[in-house]
Amino acid sequence: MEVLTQLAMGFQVALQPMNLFYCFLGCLIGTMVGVLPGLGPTAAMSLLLPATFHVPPVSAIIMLAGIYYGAMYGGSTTSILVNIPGEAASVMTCLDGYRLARAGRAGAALGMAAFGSFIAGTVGILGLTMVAPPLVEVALRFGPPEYFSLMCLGMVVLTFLSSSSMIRALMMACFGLIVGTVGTDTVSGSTRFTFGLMELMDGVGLVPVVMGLFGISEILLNLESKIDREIFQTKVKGLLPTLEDWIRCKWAIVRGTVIGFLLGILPGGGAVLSSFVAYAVEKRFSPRAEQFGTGMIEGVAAPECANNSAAQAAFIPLLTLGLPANVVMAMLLGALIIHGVTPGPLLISEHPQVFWGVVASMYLGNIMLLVLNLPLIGMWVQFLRVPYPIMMPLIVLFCLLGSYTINNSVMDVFFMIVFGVVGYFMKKYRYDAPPFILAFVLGPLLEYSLKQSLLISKGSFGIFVTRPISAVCLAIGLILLIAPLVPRFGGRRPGATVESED
Amino acid sequence: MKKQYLIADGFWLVLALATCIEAWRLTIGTFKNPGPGFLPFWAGTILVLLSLISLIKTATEKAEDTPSVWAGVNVLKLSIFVLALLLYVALLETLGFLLCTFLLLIFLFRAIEPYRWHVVLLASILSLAAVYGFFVRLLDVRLPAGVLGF
Repeated sequence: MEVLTQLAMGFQVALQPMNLFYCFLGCLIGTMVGVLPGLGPTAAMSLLLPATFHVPPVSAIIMLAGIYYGAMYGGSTTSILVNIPGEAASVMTCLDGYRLARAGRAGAALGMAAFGSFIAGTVGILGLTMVAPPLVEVALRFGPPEYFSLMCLGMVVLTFLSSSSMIRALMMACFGLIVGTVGTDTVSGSTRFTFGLMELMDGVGLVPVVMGLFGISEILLNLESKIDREIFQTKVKGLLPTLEDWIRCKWAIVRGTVIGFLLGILPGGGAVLSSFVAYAVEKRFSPRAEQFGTGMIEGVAAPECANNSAAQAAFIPLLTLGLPANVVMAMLLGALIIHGVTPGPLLISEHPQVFWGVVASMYLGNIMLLVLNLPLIGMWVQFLRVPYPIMMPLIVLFCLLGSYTINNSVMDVFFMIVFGVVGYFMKKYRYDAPPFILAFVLGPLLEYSLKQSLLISKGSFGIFVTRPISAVCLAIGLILLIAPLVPRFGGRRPGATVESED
Repeated sequence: MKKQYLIADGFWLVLALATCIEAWRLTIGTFKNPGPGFLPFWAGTILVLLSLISLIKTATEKAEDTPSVWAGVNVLKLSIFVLALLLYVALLETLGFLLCTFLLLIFLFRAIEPYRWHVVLLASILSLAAVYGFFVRLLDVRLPAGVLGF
């Protein structure tokens, strides 16, 4: 097969010592960047871009790509250990990952995240190799109405994420949408809810919000009363997932990978949306749905697989059409252009060694990341043995630095503290954070898609049902919303605690 | 306690109403030509409806004998912690990163367990040195200099 011949050529390129070195460097930096707060893969790539000017384009892209998917591996570490997501795509990993760590099973959680990411990443690359062109055709048919309907479907999926009532989940989603509108409206240019603060003109940053809602609020919860030292010094049981874990997670891995891959191709929020959807789908299909959020290993496997396969799938529109799927891909596009390589339909024919070299290096990169991350599990688990009264100030420092260094602005730190208090109250009164986060992240894209669609259709909502892909998304959403209310289809929404126990 | 959940729902109701009013002020526009207040208004409206539904649901439920959500909570300790963080933010650019963080760390290391002073000072200095060395020296991140000048 021609693909295999091309891939073999790609491996010849990727296995050259210099390219192997750059791949390793990218993966290492990516992992560190994923673990450390505030330094996203975009920042790391922009810092290192000038360093790549004197190397061949293939090597440059190999390293930059390594940073990106390496960051996905690293992001899950802090989610599991200290309940602080490395980036938005790791938010869902916090829910069960952190509970597993508290129960002494951090090793299993970290191991499952690493192995799951490896499997999903590898499958994602296989997908990239085999099915890139036809899938891109489908992705190209996604216009504003399709995006709007897909986001609405994503919002409906939110209701499956909530451990308390559906109404509360939807309330948090509305709150997330509202907070997402803070800042400057890109269409009209007017400022919304900025209260005259210049720092709010770009809206509230995701990092302060997430660090506050998850990190600071958790610290506040732990400070409530005298710390029971037993809780934080649980015996560590095993460093890797057990056979039982693997058996439980086999479908979570498959479903997470497929969902991540399909949603990752779509521009805008691919990895974030896919991790939320994968978690919700897993919860929906699980016979132990009500235990999600208490430390289910499937709750780690599904979102981790999804965000890694989505990270690989995000390369597809870039390499085949020259369309960046997210900010990181836009940076890579810039890097490619600087190096004189224009991505697009002609990339494969004009620069086959770049395309296949990068694809082959991804296989190698995934292996490197697994090898890098597994031995580190032992080290991370030791970190958990540090007494909480010592660890807490370090976590606070971590959060303060992380939020400050994004824009060198104390306002970001201030917002983090505000959202920390908000998150604490939300936890006390049992309003879940994940629906808020998803709506907050998707809100701007949802609004943009809605406005564009209404402009195209001249105010008619019919456009959402006359276009087939959009109609299908809305129909699925409607079915998902109504089905739990119809007794014949199972009645009670899976995963919901029985209302009278509230 | 039922009353506490009613207050929580009431909070969201008030927030939603405030959002709707502000969104209306921003211009909601029409379906043909949505304005900047379009999404906030409709999101706010849905939130108003949901809060009302939640309020009514909570109000009509049988009163449970569950303990208050604030039972056993040391509210003073939490308030002091939040105030300390806010003070840190207020003074960060004046006092500079090193001094401000050092003071905060000393406070935090004594916040939960009253460790002895030499432990607290050592831990604070070590953490600060590690952070400074990594972020400022290695990664060249800019942190506020303040009164100390570095």
